[in-house]
Amino acid sequence: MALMPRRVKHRKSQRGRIKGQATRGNTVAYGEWGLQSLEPGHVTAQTIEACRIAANQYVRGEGRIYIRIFPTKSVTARPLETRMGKGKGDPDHWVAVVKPGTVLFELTGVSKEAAQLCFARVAHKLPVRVRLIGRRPTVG
Amino acid sequence: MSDATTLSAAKRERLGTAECRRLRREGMVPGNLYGHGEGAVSFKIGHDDVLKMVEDGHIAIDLDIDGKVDKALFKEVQWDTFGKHIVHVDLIRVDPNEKVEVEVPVEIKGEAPGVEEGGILDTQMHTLLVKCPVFKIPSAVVVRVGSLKMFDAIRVEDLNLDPDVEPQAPGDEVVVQVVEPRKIEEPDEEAADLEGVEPELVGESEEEQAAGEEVVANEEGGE
Repeated sequence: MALMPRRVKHRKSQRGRIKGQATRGNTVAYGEWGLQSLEPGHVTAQTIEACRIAANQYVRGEGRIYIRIFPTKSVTARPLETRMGKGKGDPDHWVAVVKPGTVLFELTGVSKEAAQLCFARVAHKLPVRVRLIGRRPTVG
Repeated sequence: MSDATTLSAAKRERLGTAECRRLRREGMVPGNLYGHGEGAVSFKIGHDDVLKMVEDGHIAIDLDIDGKVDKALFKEVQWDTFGKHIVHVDLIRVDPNEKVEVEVPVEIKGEAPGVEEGGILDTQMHTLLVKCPVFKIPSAVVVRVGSLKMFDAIRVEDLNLDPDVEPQAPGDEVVVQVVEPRKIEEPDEEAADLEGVEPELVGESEEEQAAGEEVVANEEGGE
């Protein structure tokens, strides 16, 4: 089942603009390798699910995948063949708002080469350019 | 043990955001040195030098600011959004013999037999907080997983550390373990067919409505 919030305060939201870069969620926190976005964009719940399946099919039994984004924003759409007007459409799908720098997925228990191959499959499904990153060095 | 390495820096006379940005454009990194009752010193340092030092895992360094050498620890390293460039460093003065608390990276060595049995090597702790004299700070805590079978775990108390290096985490905390892979849930067709289902609105559940009515009743009763 596609991801979406259990409870929301408002059914519909304004489209908004994605400004700036990610200042949170921009490091590898749980795994050893991460897939970092280089562009702003909206990633739909369906896309996240497709990425999860693609990654799991590759790492099956070897590593573990972490999903670091969640679709919290609803996108509305108008039914087909309806005239304009009569108010805003109904919620159609859910998206995660992604800023440049956001870590989308993480992997653990696999080598760098395996992570590269796995994330290459995932990257094909994403609407943003991405790159592979590792953990930041620890000092202090 | 990490080798203290010397970094050459120059004192910063002009401070402020604009000046720091200008320094970064020139390939320098602004930084501050403080601690041990002496005043804070603002300095600038070559980006590539400090990046190499950080990537090599040197925690304790000798900082040479215009000829005055201080032993210092990295207190904080600030990175840009993409984690490529260092934008600022904070260093704290230390005495070589004093005990300090530092985060040391955990390094996994070897191949776990449990992984060949079909398990996943799950690293729970990527860094370990330790207390030790400055000159004994290890560059990494090496964890050998050569004997780790399925469902086995290496805990903090099992680590082979120098007697002067005291781990600050509880002894029973897991550092690395071999776990069974999680079963991949195949999407249930009935559950997947939820087109048009919307999340519940805050304040519209029966419990919340009942709670809201009680509040209204109490307010009316109080007047």
